[in-house]
Amino acid sequence: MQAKRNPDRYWDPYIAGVLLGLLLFLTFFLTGHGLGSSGGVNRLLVALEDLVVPRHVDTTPYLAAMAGGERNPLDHWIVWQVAGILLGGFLSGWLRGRVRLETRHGPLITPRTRWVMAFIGGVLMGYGARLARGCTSGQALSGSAVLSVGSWMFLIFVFVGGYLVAWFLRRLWQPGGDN
Amino acid sequence: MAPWDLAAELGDIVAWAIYLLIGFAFGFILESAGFADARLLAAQFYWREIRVIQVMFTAILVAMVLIFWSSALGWLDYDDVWVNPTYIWPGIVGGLIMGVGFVFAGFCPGTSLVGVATLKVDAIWFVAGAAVGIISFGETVSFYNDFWHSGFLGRFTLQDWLGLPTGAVVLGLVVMSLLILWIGDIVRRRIYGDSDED
Amino acid sequence: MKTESLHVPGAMLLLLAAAGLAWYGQPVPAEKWEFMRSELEPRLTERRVQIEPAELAELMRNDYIDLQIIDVRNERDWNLFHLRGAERIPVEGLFAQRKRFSQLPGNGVMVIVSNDEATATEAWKQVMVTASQPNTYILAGGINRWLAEFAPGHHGRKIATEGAADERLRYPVKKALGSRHPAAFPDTHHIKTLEFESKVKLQKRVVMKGGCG
Repeated sequence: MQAKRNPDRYWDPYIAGVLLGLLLFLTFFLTGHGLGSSGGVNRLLVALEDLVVPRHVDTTPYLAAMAGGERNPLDHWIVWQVAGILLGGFLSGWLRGRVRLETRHGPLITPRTRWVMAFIGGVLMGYGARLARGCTSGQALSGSAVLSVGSWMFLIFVFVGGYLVAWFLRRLWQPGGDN
Repeated sequence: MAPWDLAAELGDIVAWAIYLLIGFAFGFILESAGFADARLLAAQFYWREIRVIQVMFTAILVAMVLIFWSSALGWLDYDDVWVNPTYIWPGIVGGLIMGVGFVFAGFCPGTSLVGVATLKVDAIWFVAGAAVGIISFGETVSFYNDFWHSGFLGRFTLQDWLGLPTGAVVLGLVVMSLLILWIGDIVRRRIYGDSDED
Repeated sequence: MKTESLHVPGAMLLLLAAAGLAWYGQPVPAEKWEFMRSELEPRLTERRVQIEPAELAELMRNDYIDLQIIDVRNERDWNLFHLRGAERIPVEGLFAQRKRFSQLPGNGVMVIVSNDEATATEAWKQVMVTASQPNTYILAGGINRWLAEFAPGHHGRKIATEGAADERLRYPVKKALGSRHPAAFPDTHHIKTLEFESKVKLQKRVVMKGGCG
C-alpha cells in the first residue's frame, strides 16, 4: 500500500523523463537544436520594447542583434515553441482539473510573501538566464544532451547555487501540516 | 541525413507548426510531471522530492543515447547539431544566480510558463519578475561586456575536453547519473523515512 | 499500472544502450562519406559546387562575404603562384581545422583550390564530411584555368586548360612571385567583361544559429 503524498496524481517522474528525453531527441533530430524557453520570453519582451522605444532598441547592441532596424524578434522558432508550451501546459492541466487561479505556497508564509519571493526569484532567473545564455531547458537540458561542457557546468552550478541558499530560505517551503 | 533546415525544406508554416507541436508536447509533459507546482519543484532542494533530478537526468540520458546512436548509424549528423557554446565565467555566475533564484521562486523559465498556463498566480508574478530581470540585463550588459564574453571556448564538447571517445563519455555520464539518482533516492528516504511516494 | 517495476529494467536498458554505443563507436570520416554520399555526390556530378574563376574573382572583391581561399597544393607551386589572401593547407592538415571550418561566420564562404580539380574535390569531400560546412566550393579548373583566364599571354591558355587533369601547374610561371603576380588579384575591369553562372549561395546552418535565442 503506497502512501500518496501528492493529492494531485502526477506522472511517474522517470516515465516523464523518458518521454521528455524522446521529445528532446526528436527535436534535435528534426531541427538540429534542442528545446528552449527563456529565449522566447526574452524575444516577446524585446518585441514589446521595440514597439515602445524603438530608437533605444536600435542603439543598444544586445537588443539590436534581435530587433534592430527591420529585424523581427518574433521571427524565431523559440517563439512558436513557447506558444506551444503554454498550450500544452494548459491542456494537460485542464484535462486533470488542475487549472485553478491559485497560489502554491508553503503553509508557513502568506500568498503575498510568495508573490514577492516569486517576483524576486523571477528577476534573478531572468537576469541569470540571459547571463548564462540559456535556462534549464535550453542550456541544462538540451546542451547537456549533446555534451556541451558549458551546459554541464551550468547545470552543476544551478544546483550548487540552489543548495547553498536553500537552508536560509527554508521557511518559504517548509510543509508544516498539510502539503 | 538529419538535421534539416525545416523552414527551407517544408516552408515557414509547416516549420512553425512543428515547433508549436514540440512546445505543446514539452508543456504537456512538464505539467503532467507536476512542474506547474512550485512547491514540488522547490522541494528538490530540501530532499523531500527528487522529481526535478529524476526528470532532468533521465531526459538528458535518454536523449543523449538516442542522439549518439542515430549518429553512429548515420541517421543524424552530430557535426551539424547545435552544441551550446561554452563561456566559462558567465555560465558559472549565471548558473549560481539561477540556482538562487530557483529557491526563491520555485520556478525556472520553462516551468513558469506551465504555471502561467494553469493560472498559478505565483507563476504570473515570476514571469513579471523575469521580465524585469531580462530587461535589466539588456540595459546593464554593456557595462561588463568583456565579462559576458569571457572564457569563450566555442563548441566545446566533453569528448574534446577529456580527450575520450564519444561512446566512453556517454557511458560514463549514464553510469554517473544513474548513481546520482540512486543515491538521491537513498538520501530522500533517509531524511524523510518514507515509503515510496508516487 | 505500477510503473515502479519498470525503473530498474529501464535503467539496465539505458546502461546497455550506452555500453553498446561505446563499443560500436561513432562513424569515422570514410564511413560518414558513405552515409552522406547520396546527398553530396550529386553536388559534385551536377557541378553545383564548382565555381568559375570569374565568380571567385568577384567574391574576392565582395566586402560582405568573409572569403577563405584554401589552397591545397604543394609548397613549390604555392611559391610560384597563389591567389591573394589564400591560405595554404595541405589535404592532410584539413582534419585538424574541422572545427574552424564548421564554425565559419554566417557570411563565410570557403573556396578550395588546387592546380586542377582532383585534389580540391578530395579536399571538398573531406571538409563536407568532417565539418559539414555547406558554404564550401571548388575552383573549377583550378589554378591552371585561373591563370589561363587572368594571366597575360594567350599561349598560356592552351597549355593550361587542355591536357590531362594531372594536378601539375602547367601554366608557365617564370618567376616565383607567389601572390605578387598580377593575376593573384585580378582588376575589376577584367572581371566585368566575363560572364559566368553564379553558384555561391549562403546557406544558414543550425550549428551556427540555433540556441535559446
